[in-house]
Amino acid sequence: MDELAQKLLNPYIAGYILFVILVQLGVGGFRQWRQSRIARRRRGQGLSEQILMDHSEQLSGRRFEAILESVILILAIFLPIILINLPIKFPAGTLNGLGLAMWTLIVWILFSGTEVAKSFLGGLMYKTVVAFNKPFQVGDRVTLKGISGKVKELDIFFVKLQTLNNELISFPTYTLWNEVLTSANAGDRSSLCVMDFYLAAFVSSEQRQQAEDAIWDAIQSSVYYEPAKPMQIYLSQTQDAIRLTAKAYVASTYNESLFKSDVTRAFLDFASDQKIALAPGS
Amino acid sequence: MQAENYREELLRQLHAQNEVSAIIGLEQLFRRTTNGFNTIKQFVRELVSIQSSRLSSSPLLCRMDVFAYSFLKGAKNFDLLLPFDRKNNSAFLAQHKKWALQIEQLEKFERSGIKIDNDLSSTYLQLRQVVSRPSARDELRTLVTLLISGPSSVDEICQQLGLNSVLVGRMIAVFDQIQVIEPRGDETYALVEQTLSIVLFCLREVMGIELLGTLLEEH
Repeated sequence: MDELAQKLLNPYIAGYILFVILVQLGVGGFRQWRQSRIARRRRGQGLSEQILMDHSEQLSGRRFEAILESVILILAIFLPIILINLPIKFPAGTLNGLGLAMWTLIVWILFSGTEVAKSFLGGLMYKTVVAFNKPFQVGDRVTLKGISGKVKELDIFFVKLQTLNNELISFPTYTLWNEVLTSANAGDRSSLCVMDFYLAAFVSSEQRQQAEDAIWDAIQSSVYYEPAKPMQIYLSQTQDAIRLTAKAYVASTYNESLFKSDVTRAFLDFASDQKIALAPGS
Repeated sequence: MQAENYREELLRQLHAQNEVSAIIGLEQLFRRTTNGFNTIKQFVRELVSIQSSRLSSSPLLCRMDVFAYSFLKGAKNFDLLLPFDRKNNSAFLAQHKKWALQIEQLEKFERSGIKIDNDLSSTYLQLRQVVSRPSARDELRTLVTLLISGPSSVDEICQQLGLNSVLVGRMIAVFDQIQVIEPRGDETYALVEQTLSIVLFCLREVMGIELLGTLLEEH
């Protein structure tokens, strides 16, 4: 035990731990300084705080930041491995002590650290994986633990979703490893929109065709429609109705409800004008 | 007009004007409404059919608004009937480069507050103030309509978007004041070419609409 304590009570090791802490503080400080500088410059140009840019345009910078921060933390922790390979003469036992401190730091954070430390590391890892693998990104419309909303923030402690009712729901980031995640747009501006329309079972084939054409035109005449993506209409039969399912992309995922509203209104107008009987949805 | 008569009439007009080498203003046959596609679809279908049966004749150039074309390319596969030809569109491509450059400047301005040309930033800030409001739905829809359906009268915008004329008149006045639209002689309003890059940028970021990107990337 004395030997272990002697190995760790070494100015190099104290310096190493201090270095890891300072690097993290430095990274955080630099990020904050950069953000406040940009905010000041934007204010000076007469721009409001809210950035008028689609989330997919803002993500590349954030992804780069997340990767850089993770790489810096990993490099700082694994500094002893770099030092071992450098042609520097350290006092006897220093390298062993540094190695021991490094592993202690990792094990402590992984297993014995406080909840805060575990959340931090778990969250940081999740954030890093998300940055590389992109299962979802800030600005996406996702469903997490049965709650749907727009991802407002993804940091090492919490993922915050804004629901349609404007509620802000926070999930601890490290708890998301085992969660099923549904992303409507996966970092893209547009997203697929599925709409069902029900015709009465007795409508004629001509009326069915007219209804299909009307849905087609209603979708393409909506200002929210994304013409660069494919669009399809399927026909199926339920017990009491003929169901027309339209799949089309909305140009901005946040406008999905407006897009559906546009198409539904145009279809109902058509059905009313042409006196085509509709059926209740199942 | 019946389909057979339509084809015959079109053929007759093309024969009557032997020197026809281009048809311009094709976008006038199109409006983005539920009933707005048929006229241009019929015209282009018959035109292509007539052209393909006249094997010896030289190609007939058709000119139409690039935003209407880009939309119809995606929505109705118009590029299969009327392919976009870079050689005949050098002027547009040069203009597109200018827009792209201005949009890049606007991105930097919006993201980081990097200084840009005063005229560009001043018009952008004014339009931004209008379209960044959560309640700016109809303003954005009006801009999209003017972009894709082309110059429009107040009545046409009202009809297409289901809005009342007082509201549309008010929006038109605001856009006119900040010089993103201008009145035309025939009581219609059109987007101003000099500030079009600002409108394109705003519509891309707020509405997700980016027509020209898809037009150029596949050719």
